[in-house]
Amino acid sequence: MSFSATLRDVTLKYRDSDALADVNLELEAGKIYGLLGRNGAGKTSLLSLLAAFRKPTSGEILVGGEPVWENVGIVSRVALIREGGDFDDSDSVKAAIETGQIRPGFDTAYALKLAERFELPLKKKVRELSRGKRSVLAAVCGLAARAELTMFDEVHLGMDAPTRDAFYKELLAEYMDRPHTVILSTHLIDEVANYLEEVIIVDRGRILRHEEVEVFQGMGATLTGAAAAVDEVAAGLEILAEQQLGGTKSITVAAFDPGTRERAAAAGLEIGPVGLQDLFIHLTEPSRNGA
Amino acid sequence: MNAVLAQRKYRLGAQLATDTAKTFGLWAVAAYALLQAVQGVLRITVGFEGDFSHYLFGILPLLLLAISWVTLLKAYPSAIGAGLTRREFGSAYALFSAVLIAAGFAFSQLIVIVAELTNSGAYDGFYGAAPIDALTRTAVHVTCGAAAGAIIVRFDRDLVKGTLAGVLITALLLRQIPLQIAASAAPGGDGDLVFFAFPADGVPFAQLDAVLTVVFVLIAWLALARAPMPHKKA
Repeated sequence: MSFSATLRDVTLKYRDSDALADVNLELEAGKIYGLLGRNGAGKTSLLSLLAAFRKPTSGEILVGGEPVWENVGIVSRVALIREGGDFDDSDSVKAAIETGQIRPGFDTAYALKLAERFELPLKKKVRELSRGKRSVLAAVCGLAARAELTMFDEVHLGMDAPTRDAFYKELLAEYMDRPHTVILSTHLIDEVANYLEEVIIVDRGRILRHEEVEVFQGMGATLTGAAAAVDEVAAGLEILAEQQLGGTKSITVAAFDPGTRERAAAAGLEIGPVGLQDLFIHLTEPSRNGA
Repeated sequence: MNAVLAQRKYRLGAQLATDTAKTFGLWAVAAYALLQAVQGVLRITVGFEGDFSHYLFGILPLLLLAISWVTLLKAYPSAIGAGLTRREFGSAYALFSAVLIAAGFAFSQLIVIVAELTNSGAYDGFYGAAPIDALTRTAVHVTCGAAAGAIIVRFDRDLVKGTLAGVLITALLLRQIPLQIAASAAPGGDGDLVFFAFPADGVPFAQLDAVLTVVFVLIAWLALARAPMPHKKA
């Protein structure tokens, strides 16, 4: 079983400023979502509401079809793993792992297996761990929580590249073994792009886009070639970005339909895909959104 | 709700109590035992008549307040992060507080019993020697620590949190003053002149502390009911 999640007209205020404003979002159960947004966009606030870490100022949040706030049956099966985890620093690593046993689904044997695989020193105090190892401990506890909705908020920070790769693979293996809903909040977009099924982009407290990854990938293209030919093909298209070096021009365009693709090919232009990260950068550019 | 979910708040409360007993509890008992042993030897060898455990008797409530405060601040993020509701955490903390109050009561009564056996008068001049006083004195300090901790987590990002927690503790420490002033202005009182001493004669501490305990429990419960998960610095 895995949880769906719904936010209806959700607003979260910190004093006078809106961390989230009138957010409406539907997440189907059993998918891996990417949550993208610039710093301060509202990603952590959104995840905090889904995990009942805080109460919204207004609006309704349903997880698994039920209100999540103070709902024992739901929050016990929702895991939000924040950067560095929420541990008692004076605990040993082993004790910190065992704290997870308060969740009904927590798999201690799996957690200890992962701890061994990621070379976590069980006897060390949490406060003695390096930033990377602390992140690994948080990730291990998140995976072993066996929650129906698991959210990782920048949990990879401090991990080296091989460890991050191993974490993503373990996450995918666990997901294949036990389908559940996963939300990955990250700035390392291209690194996780292949694992995602849908992407949500948050910008200044609002949901900017929420689409399947394929939709994002089909949102545009990069055209490269002689400047005049590029300008001719791109005329009338929404240009996300452009670069020119001498007589060669490269533009990123949105809404790249088959007709335009044929014209570009006929003009001898090189047609490249738009990376998720590039698209994200363009979509959240302050000048595009009236900032 | 299955049995594991239903029982987990009690398991957390018991775990908090066990962890505290293994640390602060053992240290306090060991320190007291060592002190009594040393004083016993001195009594026999050089006729020493004093008793330094009166220091412990005096600061014991403040130690309990600090333990209660720190335990709440440490346990709350771990518990909410591990998928507990605030209501469950409140229940777990109530269990822990009850154990802490019982332990504090027992420890203060131990000091009194030993002082009477050795005729040292370790509790002379302190409030809290009588069993009912020991119970209410311990309870009001433990619940004040919990209320102050709950205020800190409730107003996580608000600078007012420190002030509010300070107000609670100040109110506890100065709790006798309004009653003394009221008593002095009453017919038969001392008029304009009030001498502040602790404990003050004529102040019904047991009743006052019982009322304050209820107030602190309510403050802690209300503060925790909407407390957010503490903010993490990026």
